[in-house]
Amino acid sequence: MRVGVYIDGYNLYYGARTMCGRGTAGWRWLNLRALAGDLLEKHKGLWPAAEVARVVYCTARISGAENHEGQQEQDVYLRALRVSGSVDELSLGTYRHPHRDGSAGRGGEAEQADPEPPTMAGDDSGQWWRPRS
Amino acid sequence: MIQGNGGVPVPDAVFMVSVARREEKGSDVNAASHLLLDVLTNVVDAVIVVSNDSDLALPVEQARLRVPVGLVNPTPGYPAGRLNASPDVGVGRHWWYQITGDDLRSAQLPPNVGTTIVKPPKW
Repeated sequence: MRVGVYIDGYNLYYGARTMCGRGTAGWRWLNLRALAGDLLEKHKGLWPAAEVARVVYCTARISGAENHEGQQEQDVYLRALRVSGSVDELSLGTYRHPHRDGSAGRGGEAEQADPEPPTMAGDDSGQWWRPRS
Repeated sequence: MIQGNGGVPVPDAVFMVSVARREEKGSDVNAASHLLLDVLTNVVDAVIVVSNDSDLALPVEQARLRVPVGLVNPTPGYPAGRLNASPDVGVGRHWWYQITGDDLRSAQLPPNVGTTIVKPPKW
């Protein structure tokens, strides 16, 4: 039985980071084909004679303008996946703002905002108010 | 023009904006597309989907009508309700699994890959 494995790289990365710890080593350099094989081994009762036929990894490039080190490390990892044969297909989407706190960050794109709640307006008196809607 | 108290125009008003943004960048759509393409062109007989994103509900549901599906939740959170189903729906033999830290730590690439690729030090 030929098994195709489809991986949402973002879901996996953030899930793994929450599980293993952001500052902890030992989980990021993941061998996706080996993981797929382990998953089949755990389910060989239900799927006997199953083999990993295709590993498809879907992720997005990290923007170097916003996260230079992250982009370089991701680059190394994607090359490792390709060269080791850990994936058969690498599908890259477009990465946008990585800032979870909502800040635009260095090199972020400016966005026009409509002056309605939750927008606040302020002048140089230091006071802030919500525009009338 | 923005007006301050008493209707005074404030030409240099500053705006503070709070933005809620989805974080994924098409990786879910790409995974769904590859999944359905491979199932519909018969290049696979079963599939494993590694995601807990409920946006994959429809493609996964469609896949289950054609091939057995293993759904792997890679997060420590509850499995997405919309990705749940009966193991017998469609062609049957579907399963669900929540990945563990040990699964990840025991499936690592060697520190050196090829002659030039080295695992980043903090990884």
